[in-house]
Amino acid sequence: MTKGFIEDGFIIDLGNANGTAEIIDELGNILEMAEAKNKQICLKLGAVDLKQSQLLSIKALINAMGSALAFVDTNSELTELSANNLGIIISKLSNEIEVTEDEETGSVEPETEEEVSEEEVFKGELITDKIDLTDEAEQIEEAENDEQKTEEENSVQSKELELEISKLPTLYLRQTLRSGSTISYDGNIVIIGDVHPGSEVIAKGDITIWGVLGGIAHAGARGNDFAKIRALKINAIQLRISGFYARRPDTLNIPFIQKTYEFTPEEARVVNKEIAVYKVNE
Amino acid sequence: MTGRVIVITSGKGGVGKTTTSANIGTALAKAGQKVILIDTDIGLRNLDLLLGLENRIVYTIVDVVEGRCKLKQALVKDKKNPNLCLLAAAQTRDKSAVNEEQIKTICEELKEENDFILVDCPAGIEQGFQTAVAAATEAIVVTTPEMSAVRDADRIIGLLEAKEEIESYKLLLNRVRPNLIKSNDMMSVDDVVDILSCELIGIIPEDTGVITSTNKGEPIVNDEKSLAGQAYSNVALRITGEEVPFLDLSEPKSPIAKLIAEVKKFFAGLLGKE
Amino acid sequence: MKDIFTDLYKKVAGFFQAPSEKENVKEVACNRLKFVLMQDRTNLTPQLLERMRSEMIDLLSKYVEMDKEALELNFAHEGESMALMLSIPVLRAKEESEIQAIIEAEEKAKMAKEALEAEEAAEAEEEISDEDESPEEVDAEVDVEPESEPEEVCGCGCEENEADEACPCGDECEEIEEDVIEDAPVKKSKKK
Repeated sequence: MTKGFIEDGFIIDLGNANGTAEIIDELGNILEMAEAKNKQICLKLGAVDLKQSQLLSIKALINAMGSALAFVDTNSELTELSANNLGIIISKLSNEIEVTEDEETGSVEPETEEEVSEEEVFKGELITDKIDLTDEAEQIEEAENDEQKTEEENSVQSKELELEISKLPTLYLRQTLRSGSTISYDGNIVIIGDVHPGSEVIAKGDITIWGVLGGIAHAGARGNDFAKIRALKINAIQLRISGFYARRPDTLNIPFIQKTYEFTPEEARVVNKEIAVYKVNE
Repeated sequence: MTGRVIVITSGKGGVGKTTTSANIGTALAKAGQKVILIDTDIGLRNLDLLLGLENRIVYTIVDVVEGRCKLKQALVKDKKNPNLCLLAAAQTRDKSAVNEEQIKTICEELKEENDFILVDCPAGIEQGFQTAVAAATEAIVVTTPEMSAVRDADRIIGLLEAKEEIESYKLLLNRVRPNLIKSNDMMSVDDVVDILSCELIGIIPEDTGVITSTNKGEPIVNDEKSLAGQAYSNVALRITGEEVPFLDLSEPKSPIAKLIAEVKKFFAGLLGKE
Repeated sequence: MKDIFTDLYKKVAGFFQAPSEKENVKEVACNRLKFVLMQDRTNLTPQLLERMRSEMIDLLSKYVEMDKEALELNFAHEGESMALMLSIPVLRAKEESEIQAIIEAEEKAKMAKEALEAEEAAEAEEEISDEDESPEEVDAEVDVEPESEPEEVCGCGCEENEADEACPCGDECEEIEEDVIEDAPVKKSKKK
């Protein structure tokens, strides 16, 4: 199969499962989610051995949930044989992400034409890069698939994740986000302006605000624990990094933003499974 | 147990629906009932502010409806009372995000484990109102003794009457100023009840404490000295079926005020005879 | 001097007594509201309401002597049903003879009206049958037409009996007749 882009694709990685029972269990859970319905499922099976009957039952499960099995990515010969016998396409999944306008998740609001052109510049540079997105189903925003990672993979992952952020494209906005706006991007986000309470910034990479952060910021939204949130002043309602979240203390009940000229640049990162905020000077 | 689904609506904006929902919910929870508060004002949410829970919202009703999380994940427990939970609205969407069928499903699920489900309705009569009212069997119509509010309340009562699922509706008169009523500058409680032909469930006096309580994020029922707080507690008791007499709002509170009132009455009596 | 004291007295008295003018504010508000709600609930514009009211007054004052200004019209709302409530202060009942007289007068007027209508209808029919020929003859034989319409009065008012002679008003009369004839096709189409 040639490398290409599948319309409505949904990758499910079950490479770490031990046995069909676990596969079917996991698959069932994932397919229950709304984003998995009516999609072309690309199944990554890793080294799991599946007999023809087992593969058939998996296919039936997918069909029953309203989706279709597009192809199967497997390292196991037995599974390959079963797939061939059933007429299921086998292909290697390469985790290449071409950042085109179609694939950007969520709403992106470029304010002026200047910013649009900057996005396109990044697009040009990116196509040759390879980004590792292992162990993730594409459309899930929170890192709900943590259970699938094993310990070994984690340490290998962390190095990759740290590097990943610097390779991501960056969205550059020069506006203030008011209540009700959401910006989400598969990369880093830089906002020159304030983020008012009631708005959300969701990024796969880092979030940097040159202004006061009063709303909700979610960095590493696809499961990168090493993403950071920086702002000239952090007054956020909630800070979320990957699967962790922290809220501001209850004594600070400010539904509006406190504009200030005294800035204390701060950075929030995950330390010991908690979000901690550091002043940049430290 | 099957919970009662009550919608708190008004038509006119700014008459005190959200304040009423927060306070009645808190009062019921204090009395030991299991209460869920649902904010259906999507895009302009405020119920979380009044309860002081605005920092704790991770998932909203829109996330539940669109399948991104389970219903239990979206319920936020109250700071002080674990009997009370809030299902917050989304700030980043609008009222077309949730429709009647979806809210009925949510309420069906919540009814099984809770005594009361209070739905805070947005202002207006469009989709937001239709959604909020869809799952309810009872309604509380909130109004103030002002012409525009009463007119809109009349319209809302008309709409509620047309819905078969709403078995009963009661009137709650909010922001009542007894001194203005006495000097005939404001319509009296009886006037409003007469005009609307609706049974009264509560009279809440105007109280500046409400503003402070919103700022602090603590509903005014928690303040036992405030008259408005007591009035709201009484409403909660009436909802559970108890017969509670209406508070006499014209009672002056401080002894000096009482003295002045007595003197006034005395002289008025004298002059009246002349 | 005395004025100052009276003013002062009134002010002090006012402090202890609720001034009675203020009753109006609340009453005004209530009345406005009731009026507005009546409109909202029944789709009756103020004009229609006024008409209904005056028609009712006329109708009822036939049978009962009443204070016409004081007729009150209200919609009462009880649960789901709405009732139209009318309250009229009755000054006195009318004598039976009075009522009979009024009724007879009405009947007469009605009959007279019907008779008149019948006449007009008959005249109109004749007009049509006569005017069938006239549109084609408009340009020519203007003078002849008065003969073909013996009962038609000449437009200028002169009597038909003198049609054989020249019409006393001369040319003016002919013009008027032409206008009458030209109107006829229009009339005909309406009637048909």
